[in-house]
Amino acid sequence: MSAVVTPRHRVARLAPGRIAIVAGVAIMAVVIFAAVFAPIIAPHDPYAQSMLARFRPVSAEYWLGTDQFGRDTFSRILYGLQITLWTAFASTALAMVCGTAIGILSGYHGGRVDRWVSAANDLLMSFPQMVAGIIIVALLGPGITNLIIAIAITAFPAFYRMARSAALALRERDYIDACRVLGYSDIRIIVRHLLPETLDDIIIVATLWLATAVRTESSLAFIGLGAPPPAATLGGLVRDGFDNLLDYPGLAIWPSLAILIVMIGLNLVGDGLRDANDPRATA
Amino acid sequence: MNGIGDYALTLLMVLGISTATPALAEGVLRYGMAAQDLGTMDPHRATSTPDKPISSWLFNGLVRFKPGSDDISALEPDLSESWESNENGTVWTFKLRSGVKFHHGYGELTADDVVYSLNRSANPDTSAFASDYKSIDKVEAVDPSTVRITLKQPIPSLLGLVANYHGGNIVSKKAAEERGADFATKPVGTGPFMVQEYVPQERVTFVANPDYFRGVPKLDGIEYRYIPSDSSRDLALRAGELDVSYGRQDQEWINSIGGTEGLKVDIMRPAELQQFHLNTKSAPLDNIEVRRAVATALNRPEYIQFIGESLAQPAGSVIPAGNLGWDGSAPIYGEGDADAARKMLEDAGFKDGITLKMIQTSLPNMLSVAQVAQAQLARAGINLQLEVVDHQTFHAQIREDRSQVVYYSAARFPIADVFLTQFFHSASIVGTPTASINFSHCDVADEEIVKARSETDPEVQKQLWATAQKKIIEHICAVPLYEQLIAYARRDNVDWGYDLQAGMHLGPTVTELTELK
Repeated sequence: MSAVVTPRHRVARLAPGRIAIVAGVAIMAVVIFAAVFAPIIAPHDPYAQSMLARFRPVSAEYWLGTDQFGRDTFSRILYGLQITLWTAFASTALAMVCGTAIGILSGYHGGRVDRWVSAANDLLMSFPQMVAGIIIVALLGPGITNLIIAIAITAFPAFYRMARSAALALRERDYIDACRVLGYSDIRIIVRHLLPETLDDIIIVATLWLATAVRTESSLAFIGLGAPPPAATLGGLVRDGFDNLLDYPGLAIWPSLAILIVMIGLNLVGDGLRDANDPRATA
Repeated sequence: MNGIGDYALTLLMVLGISTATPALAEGVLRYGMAAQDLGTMDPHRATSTPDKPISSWLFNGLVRFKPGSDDISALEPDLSESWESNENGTVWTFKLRSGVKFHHGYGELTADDVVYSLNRSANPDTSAFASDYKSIDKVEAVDPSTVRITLKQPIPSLLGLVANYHGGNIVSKKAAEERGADFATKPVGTGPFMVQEYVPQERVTFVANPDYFRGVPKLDGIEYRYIPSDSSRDLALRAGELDVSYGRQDQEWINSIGGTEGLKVDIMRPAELQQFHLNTKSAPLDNIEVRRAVATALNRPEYIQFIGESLAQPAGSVIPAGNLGWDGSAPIYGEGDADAARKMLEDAGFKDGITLKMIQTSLPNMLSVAQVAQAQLARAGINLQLEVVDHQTFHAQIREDRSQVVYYSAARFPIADVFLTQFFHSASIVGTPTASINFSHCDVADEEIVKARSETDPEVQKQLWATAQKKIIEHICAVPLYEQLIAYARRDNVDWGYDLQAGMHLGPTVTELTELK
């Protein structure tokens, strides 16, 4: 991926990814709307149990039926979206800010610090993402904040690498040299000249990583390392549904579909942005 | 990390891919258990539901519960042929059966093994049941086939202490000394089956003991497989990969399995008492008004609805019904009155509600009950924070006094003294040198519990036990939720070889007469 794409180029190249982006943005708009307004949209309290309404089928009252505690599955999915998306956005944002900052500093300064930080980063990267996630959550203990930190750590290397390689390439450019000659401070050079140049790419990476973050969150919740009960998260809903998979498959299927829709939406946006930004993809 | 492999297994089965199981001989009973892994096979240490059934296959006591029965008045000879006691019941003499052989060539059973085993059960370093054996003064080998037990004072049931249950199981002295801590995975007993192989997180295999004193078992062996997910076990059972399976303990499951051709549901006693123990020394539960609020907010009838009436029955006291000395006359809080509970909290100075920490096992049956309680308490402004951990960790951590509320499901030897002593006598408080499983730090009924133990007049004894229960209930050391029978599923070609009404080891006993038809 080229790091040197000026904003003007990008606008001209939006065409190939446009349909995907429009579809993706539409899906995500609906999903985010549903998540944000869950308290208004949800027909039932997602935590309210009713022993008289256990395992209800799909009906006008319970759009997607109820679970073993008589809780409304549709409402739980809406709230699940909320927690899952919040976890994904927060962890990606955290990884983006930290990864970019450290990556640019490391790349811009070079030298021994850069080598050490890069080596540490490579070490982190060498762990499969799920394994790293499991280890970190197991160490930190369950809970949404810890989950966000864990996912952010697993996403950190991608941003670090991206920002560092961009900074490495840019610092050799004439105009950066010119800035140095003019006596600009490092901070000013980084903030005013390096960062804007790398921002496009970082945002694309962030979009793609959002999807990964959703997947990681769901997977961790599925194996019991997500938010503790009674919190509804999409992965947790699938896992709870597994206990009754044979008799009430819907309990696992509906939240799985919700995860699928979110993943498709995020990937469409991310892929679309990437294609639009790829200098090799010509319109 | 809970059950990744397990869910993978389910997925494979859903996709119709049969998972590779080693080829088994015809007569091997495949028994599925809801656990991640073995805890221990040491009978003097086995306290968890998944570990207990194993004891009954590997070991014998001096006397035994008839297979399928939990009737304490119908104990029958096991390793001993006959026994007698002196008039006031303080000296007991047991005559051992001759020619009983230990597994794996560990020789013949002698009085030394019995002496060793009972002393081992009485030693808190080697036994989880040491407190049950405190009344024993000494155990002696009179000659190689005679054992004499002397008591400090008469106790409600000496035979209960030497039955094939918990500390009464007789182990091989030689093997236990040789193997030390390894005895947990390499136990040696006299029972109809012996351990062949233990594969961590997967299974334990047992083979028939050809020298079993009641005759060679009809089965060739047992494969005890650890499958924590209920759905995975059900799938394995339906796919013909299991013959017996620990059930999901609710009505839905009973209806579903019961309605499947070729499968049967076994429902058995003992009823395990499901109880919330409240740590009376930990703020804010040290305030009795707060405990009263918790008890009031819990809605006891709802658990019976949740579990279903074939399995759940109301709990009337802090010890299981059917125990000798049970008394259901003291009223128990727990009508699910959230408003009243909220008011009690306000009056006690907790306007904004309270938060309680609870370490909870990931076993699905228990986790769902905890979630029902969580929702009930939430209505009264009580935030029950669940920290979900695997079952072994749960057992370890609650014994380290780390959970403010402990949800414990238990049945014990059916005499009030045992349950009262383990759960409510101050000597049993967790975190103390003599600790058993007094999670509530309850100490209000010590006097009655101790007095009742050596009381010779049965009526006075009962009265003492009743007072003890009343005091514990009034002090709200624990809130009994309901009592639950045990449900297992089996293929209909499994013939237990006896009438299965109860399993003292919380699962069907596999005897020498059990077979696959």
